[in-house]
Amino acid sequence: MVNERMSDREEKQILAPAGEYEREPVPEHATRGLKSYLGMFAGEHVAGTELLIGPLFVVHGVTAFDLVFGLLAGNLLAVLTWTFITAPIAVKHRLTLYFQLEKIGGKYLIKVYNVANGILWCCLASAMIYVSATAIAVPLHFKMPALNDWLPPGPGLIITVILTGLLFTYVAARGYQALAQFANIAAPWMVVLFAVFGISALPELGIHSLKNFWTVANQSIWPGHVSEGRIHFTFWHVMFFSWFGNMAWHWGMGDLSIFRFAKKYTYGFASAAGMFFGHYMAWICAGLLYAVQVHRNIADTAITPGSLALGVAGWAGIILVFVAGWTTANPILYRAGLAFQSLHSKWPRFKVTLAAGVIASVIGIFPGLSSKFLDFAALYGLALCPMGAVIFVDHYFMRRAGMLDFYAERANLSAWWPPLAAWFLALIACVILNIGFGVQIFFLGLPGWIMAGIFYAVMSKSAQNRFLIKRLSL
Amino acid sequence: MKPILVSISILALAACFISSVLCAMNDISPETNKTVLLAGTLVWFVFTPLWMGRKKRGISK
Repeated sequence: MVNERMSDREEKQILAPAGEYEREPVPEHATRGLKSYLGMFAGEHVAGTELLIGPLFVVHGVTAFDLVFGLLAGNLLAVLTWTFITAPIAVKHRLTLYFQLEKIGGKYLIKVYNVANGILWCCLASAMIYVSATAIAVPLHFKMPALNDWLPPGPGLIITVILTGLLFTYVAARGYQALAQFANIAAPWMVVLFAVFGISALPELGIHSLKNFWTVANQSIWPGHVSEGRIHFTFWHVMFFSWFGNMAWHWGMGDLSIFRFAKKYTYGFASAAGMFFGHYMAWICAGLLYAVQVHRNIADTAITPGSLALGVAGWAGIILVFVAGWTTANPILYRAGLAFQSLHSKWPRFKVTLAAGVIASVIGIFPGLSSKFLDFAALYGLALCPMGAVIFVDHYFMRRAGMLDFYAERANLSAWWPPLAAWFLALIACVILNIGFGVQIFFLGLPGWIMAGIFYAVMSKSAQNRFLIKRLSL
Repeated sequence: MKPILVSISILALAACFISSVLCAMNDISPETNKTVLLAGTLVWFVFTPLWMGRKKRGISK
């Protein structure tokens, strides 16, 4: 009973970090300054999975130019999207993503959205569990998977992943706050350690000054050789991946919940701290670690973050890999538990989170997901972004087109079908583009988002009740 | 007391960063660098929780 009460309180804290306002606009006095956004983005986007993404760019055969300038362009576009697409709507309504979606599509839309989110969060958490597990498995000399292995290579890694997953799950199920505090403490150290990784890797690659960095980068670090079974990444792949890597949060409007506390929409520029520390510096530094590993043994192409970090930074690197995986897996497991619990309010969150964590741990056993993490990250953004298009269209176009915004709320409906139909039709269209026309998943985000917006507007036009529009417009 | 604790934490991170730069310039060995990184990490996690995120009592939201 005590635990349940604590859980309720913690649940409110995570859903509404300032204390309340889950179902009401954030008042002016509760808004936050720019500094808190800079710190939050810098900490949130330096995670364990950066140690997978940086090396995966190398195995996909990017060149140094494509990486350095593709990341620059993509991260800049991501910052602009947060600032000019997400933040203005957040500051205007000051509502959570969930409450805004409920007003548009009714409470049943939220349930479907939560299940989709919960499943994707389990997969995301599994990659983070795997990353942290490698920090334990490598010093114990357990056999690690090769680059393209889908199955675990032996019982050592399986047991390590399961035990790591269960530890993370238990802590997440017990509550969110303790490890969140630890994550805040670790964040500045993680940013510095990622930079240290990159700098420490330089001498082994034969780089002793900035003068020969570009030459070595082209010849030894990002030479543009594609590994077997991988597609070749160009500038456009890098740019679109870094732009859409967090698509669920900006185009998909997930960060409405964050920016509703911002004093001005221009605080969206604070996302640059996360993008350029986490998705620029950290990805490049992780690529350098991988280059060192291949430089030492050309046959060793496996991507095991523990091994990469141990080689260059010793035990501090091992600690970083474990902490970076844990601090990001913890809130994800917690949120996955909440998402599934929303299906049935009487389900105890503790047990639901345990179940979500067990699922994530079992998925984490299979290294295939981690070695295909770029594809998964693109899928994650693509699957959730149509709901962002629905919110965008509802905010900017419904009234101008003679329709009602927040229709489910105004018509007092529990379920309003156009948002849900637009979501599924957009995803079906993306599958057709992918399978029928060969458009790679990395490029489907924006077409999917635009199609969802058009579908939603067209279906709303035919489905909204004209009498209700007239009555409420008077 | 807090300024001293904050200074120790910042020095720990600075030591990590400077050590890696010295390693890159071949002024210290990789093994020395790894030792400094571990020491800096331990100092950070011992001293930072003593000042970061601690709120004074009695301050309302």
